[in-house]
Amino acid sequence: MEDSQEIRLIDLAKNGDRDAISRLVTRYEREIFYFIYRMTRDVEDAKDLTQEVFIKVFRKLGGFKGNSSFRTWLYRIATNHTLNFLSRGPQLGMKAPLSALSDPSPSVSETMEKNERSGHVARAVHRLPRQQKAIVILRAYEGLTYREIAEVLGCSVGNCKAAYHNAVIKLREILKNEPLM
Amino acid sequence: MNPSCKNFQALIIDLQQGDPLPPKDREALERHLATCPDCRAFQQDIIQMFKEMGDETLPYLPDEFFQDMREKILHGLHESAPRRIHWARHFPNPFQSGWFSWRKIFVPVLTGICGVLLGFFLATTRTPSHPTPKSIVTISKIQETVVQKSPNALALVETLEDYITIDEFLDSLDDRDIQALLGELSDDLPESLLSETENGTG
Repeated sequence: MEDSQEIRLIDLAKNGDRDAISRLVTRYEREIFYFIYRMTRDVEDAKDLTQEVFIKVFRKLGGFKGNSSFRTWLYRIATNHTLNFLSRGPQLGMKAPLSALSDPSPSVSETMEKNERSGHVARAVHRLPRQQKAIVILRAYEGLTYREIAEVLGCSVGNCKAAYHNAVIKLREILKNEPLM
Repeated sequence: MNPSCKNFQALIIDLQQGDPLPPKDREALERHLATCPDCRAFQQDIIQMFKEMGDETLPYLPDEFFQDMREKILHGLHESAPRRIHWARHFPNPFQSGWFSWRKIFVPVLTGICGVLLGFFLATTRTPSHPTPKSIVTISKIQETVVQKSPNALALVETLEDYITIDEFLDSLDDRDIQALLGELSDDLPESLLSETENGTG
């Protein structure tokens, strides 16, 4: 549920208020960017897709009735847009590794090993079918509730739960066949 | 693995995800785990998997990266629909709100106009309002020939004036009239016209 400030920002953005749009983008840009990054595993693709998603969101903002939260609505558009992108052709996957844009601070080397392990799981997630990948990322990484995921994906809560359980079981099978688990 | 394991695995996933389980389900799961090595192994794998997910370190991206992205978004919005957003701020579009909306007014009106146009099109194409040139020539020729050949047929021919096409005229005749008429005409009309007339009577 939005706070009153966000509702006001949305109303202003509907009327084309540039400052309100900018503040809404600032509020959600990192969250949406990293969600799309987890889906695509490519920084440049994620950047382009995030821009397209926000442009689409503000073009369609007049149709946002507030039946769901703005954040859920944003995820819905981001998920559909990214799934469409992924369905357009074979993705190379993991084109730009996480470390490629990392801050070259002393802590980077210390976290390399941890990154490698978590990167191992991330690669396994990337090998899931697109829908299952989306549901795992939304639930396990982004922390959306089943109800929110049901709104994002347009399915029932029960179907959502079952799909998530199946996806996690499949993820475990993928990881079992990998040496690092 | 017995068939109920799948249900318990769903509970294990929810539990490790942080979802609270009802006490009854939790007790049943604990009892099952005490006797099922497969589900215990599953639980260990899930714990490890979620731990590694939580340890994921995302790429560090400087503020300039997001600032550049934000500027491109605003620029993209300005490029794609600047006028609509700009004018909407100062002059709210009456068609976008309340009862006087495009959906409620424009769509039914457009549908009505389309319906009227379709009806007009169907009405005008089904029955031609004027005889075709070929029908006019045929009727004139029949009239001329019949009047010359048989004054008794004059009354019949006069009714021809009331018909628009030769088909309508011929439809109004019964078989006996047609035979009499064809008998009168056979010497004077060309064969092609006679055969057309016969075919027209069906």
